Amino acid sequence: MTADHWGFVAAAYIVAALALGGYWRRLVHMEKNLKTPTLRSARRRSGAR
Amino acid sequence: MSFARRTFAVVWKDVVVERRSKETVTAVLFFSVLLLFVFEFTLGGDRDRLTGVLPGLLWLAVLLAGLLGLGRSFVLERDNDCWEALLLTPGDKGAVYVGKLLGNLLLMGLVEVIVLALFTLFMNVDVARAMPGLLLVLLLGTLGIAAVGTLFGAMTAHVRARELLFPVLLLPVLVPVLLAIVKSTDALLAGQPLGSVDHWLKLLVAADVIYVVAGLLTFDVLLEG
Amino acid sequence: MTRWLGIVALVAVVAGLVMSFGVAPRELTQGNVQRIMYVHVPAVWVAYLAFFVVLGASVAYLWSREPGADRAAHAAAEVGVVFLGVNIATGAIWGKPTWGTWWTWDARLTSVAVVFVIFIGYLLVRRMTDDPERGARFAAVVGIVGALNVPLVHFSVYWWRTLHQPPTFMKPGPSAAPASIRAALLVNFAALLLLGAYFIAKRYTLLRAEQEAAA
Repeated sequence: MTADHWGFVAAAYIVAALALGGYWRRLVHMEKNLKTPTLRSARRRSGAR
Repeated sequence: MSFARRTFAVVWKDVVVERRSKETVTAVLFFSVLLLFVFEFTLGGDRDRLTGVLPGLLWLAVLLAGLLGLGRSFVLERDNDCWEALLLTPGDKGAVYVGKLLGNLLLMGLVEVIVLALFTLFMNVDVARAMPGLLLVLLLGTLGIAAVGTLFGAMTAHVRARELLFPVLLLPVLVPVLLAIVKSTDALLAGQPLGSVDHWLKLLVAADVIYVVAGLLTFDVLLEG
Repeated sequence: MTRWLGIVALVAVVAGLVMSFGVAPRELTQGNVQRIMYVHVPAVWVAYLAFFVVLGASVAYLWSREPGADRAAHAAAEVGVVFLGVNIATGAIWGKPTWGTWWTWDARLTSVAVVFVIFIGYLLVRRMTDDPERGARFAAVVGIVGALNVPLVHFSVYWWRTLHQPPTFMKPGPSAAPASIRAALLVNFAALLLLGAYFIAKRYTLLRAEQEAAA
């Protein structure tokens, strides 16, 4: 009977999860940056240098 | 001014400029000779192996040398502030595209003649045996390369890191054309009849039609400010 | 609205995992390593659908100059590249125990790799053009040429690998597959499709917010 290579199966699903999850985290991160103004943009808005 | 006359005007301008400066042709010639040396150094020891990879090497030389020329096809206009002149061409900008395309075809044709001559002389390749078929392959393949190369050349003239972006965009898109011409050249140089590469020729025709039509339709868009 | 899509997608992904590991049987010839196919194959289907969206949105943008079309193309291209990356990576991980090598220049892998690089180029064009409106136009042209090129890539690579050369490897994935395997594939496809749609929607919204903030 052929070997099962569960290690590779796990690796594949983990890599997929990391890639898709990572992209999702990037989207969430971008959303957060847009919603709350960053310190730099706040300073610029208040006219300070 | 009719489409044909405007096209011819563009081609003639580029030919005249190149004839005066000889920049691109010289660079291409020296690059091809250099490639020849490198191929001989790395593969020359094993004559059989060299003969086996010759079609690929041939087209690699053409492509690399052509990249030099294609990437620069709009640099002249951009560097010398002539871009607006292109924009002001009356009527359909398609004439500019076709004109540049023909100019690039001439350039690549020249590269191919040089490389084929060098390979025939120094690598003992029997080109005559493959002949009228090889000419057809050359024509169809070069048209495809020039069609996309002209389009992307116009685009990348205005982009940061043009020298990086142009080959990155062009080469993956050209994979089908490359496969077709390398495989066809391989078969023809091995003495096979033209009919045996029929499917590759059909692919080249399809690719050429797609690229030229896409180019004609979208070139205007690239030329805008 | 988008949030609901995300939740549904998550549920579907869980369902897909249940199918992959609970319902689908141990494959006869390959063993359990075949289960990688349940993420590998749907990923490329979703990616190619996304690139089809890029084609449509790019044409629409050049025609109408609607910024929404440009945003849709951009979002779809990003998501397509991510899913194609997943396909390539899981494919390599499947290939190592099955074929003994991480990579092989067979028709499918090579085609996918070329398409991957084409659309990386698409994203690069946007990044390297200073004027965003110009970047949108350039990207649209690259998107159209790139997407139209996909069938050419697949034909040429397939002919290169199969003509005058007997097929050396089994086709990856089930061929005359039992119903449970096909069902698992379908559920996972739906799951990844929903996930991809959620990502595209979210990215689209973010792009619009970015553009409005810059205005």
